[in-house]
Amino acid sequence: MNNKHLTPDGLTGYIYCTLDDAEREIMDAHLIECPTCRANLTEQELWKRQISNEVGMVLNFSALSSQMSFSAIAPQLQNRHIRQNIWLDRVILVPSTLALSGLVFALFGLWRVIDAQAFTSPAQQLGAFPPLACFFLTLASVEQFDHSLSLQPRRVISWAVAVILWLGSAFIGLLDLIVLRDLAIMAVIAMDGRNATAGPIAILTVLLGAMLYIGFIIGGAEYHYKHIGQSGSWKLFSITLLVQLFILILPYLIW
Amino acid sequence: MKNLEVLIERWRAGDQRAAEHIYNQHREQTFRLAYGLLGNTEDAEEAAQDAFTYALLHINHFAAQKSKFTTWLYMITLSRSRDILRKRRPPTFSLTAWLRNRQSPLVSRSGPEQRIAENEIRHSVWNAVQDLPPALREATILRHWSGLTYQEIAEITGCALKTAQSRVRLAHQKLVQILGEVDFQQSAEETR
Repeated sequence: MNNKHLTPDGLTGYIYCTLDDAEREIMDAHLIECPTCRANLTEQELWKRQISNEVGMVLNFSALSSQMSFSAIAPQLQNRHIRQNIWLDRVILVPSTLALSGLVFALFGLWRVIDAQAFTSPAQQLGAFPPLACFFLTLASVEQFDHSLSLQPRRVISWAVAVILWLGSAFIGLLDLIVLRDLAIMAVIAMDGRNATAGPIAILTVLLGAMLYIGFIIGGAEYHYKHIGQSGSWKLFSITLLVQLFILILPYLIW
Repeated sequence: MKNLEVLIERWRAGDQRAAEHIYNQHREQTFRLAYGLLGNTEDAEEAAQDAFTYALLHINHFAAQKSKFTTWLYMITLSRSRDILRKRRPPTFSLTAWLRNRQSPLVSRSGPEQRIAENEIRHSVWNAVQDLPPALREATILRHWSGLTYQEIAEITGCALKTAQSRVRLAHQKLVQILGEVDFQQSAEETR
């Protein structure tokens, strides 16, 4: 509500009953005293009724052709077997397999890095596992675009795939930190030629990277939790993983 | 609907006649929803048939304790309609085709001039709805025609509850803005 009258948002919220009780009470109190807003409200209610009537008239009298019949789809129903075990269905197997493959590759990549002590030693090649992980995880997220959360058991699968994608991107994020640290060291040595400054630069890069990493992990988790199953969440996963993949292959592009 | 539950169980057991009954019970509603989203009969029938094929083949995915069968079917229809919209150019609305396809309207004891005015109003509103962005059009059709709750709209369209509410409100504001440029509200008053 602006200083004097109800806003268009407020009026439409009122007629479409999207306001909470407190907002509605405030508006009711204002409407009692304001004839201008009462007139505006009546006008909006007339529009609403008009839209409903006309849309209803068009749709309720729209004609189907005779081709839209059960016999047109019956052959497909006869030839296909209704899968009794839904967990073997394509809509479940495909995203699950892709996501799990990506997570396994990410874990392998991380294990290899820990085994090679790459967190403390510079310029270790990370191998093919991390990029493969990014590839499979990105495919899993892209596959989920525009799939409704509520088509059972899509809700369970969406949750599972989202958790796997978040874990996978968290693991790959650690590997990205190593890459960025090594790139910073190489950049300092290339510009400065003195190894002595490379150490502090590496520490600084890791610290800044770690702060960003923690921020993305926590912020990303909150965003995905609120928007789980929605296309925005899957798209953010895809963008995150593609950026992580780019960072992983950056050394190969530069060297 | 107990009858529907029985039909679904029979279809899960393999009785194709049950599938046919399910189809016939929901055929018109499903087509009309698709027609509202796509704006032409051919696309609407394709979307509706695809939706039925998917729903009947994946009947084991339907959980009655989570949602109504109609809600589930509408979700699938919406998904198929979106696929068609993505693949094809935006549908155009043909007044001639609509006038040819429609059955007699419910109204009107009024004279020919009033019927022409009513048709113009209907054409304007329908065109305005079809010109809405897809997300707002979906919300408008589901709210105004299907009469679904916001929770059901959110479930069907795959968005949050608040998003569904704001889409309905935004769609109304856009429609009023478009239709307000056409001075037909006065005509609507006169034809009552």
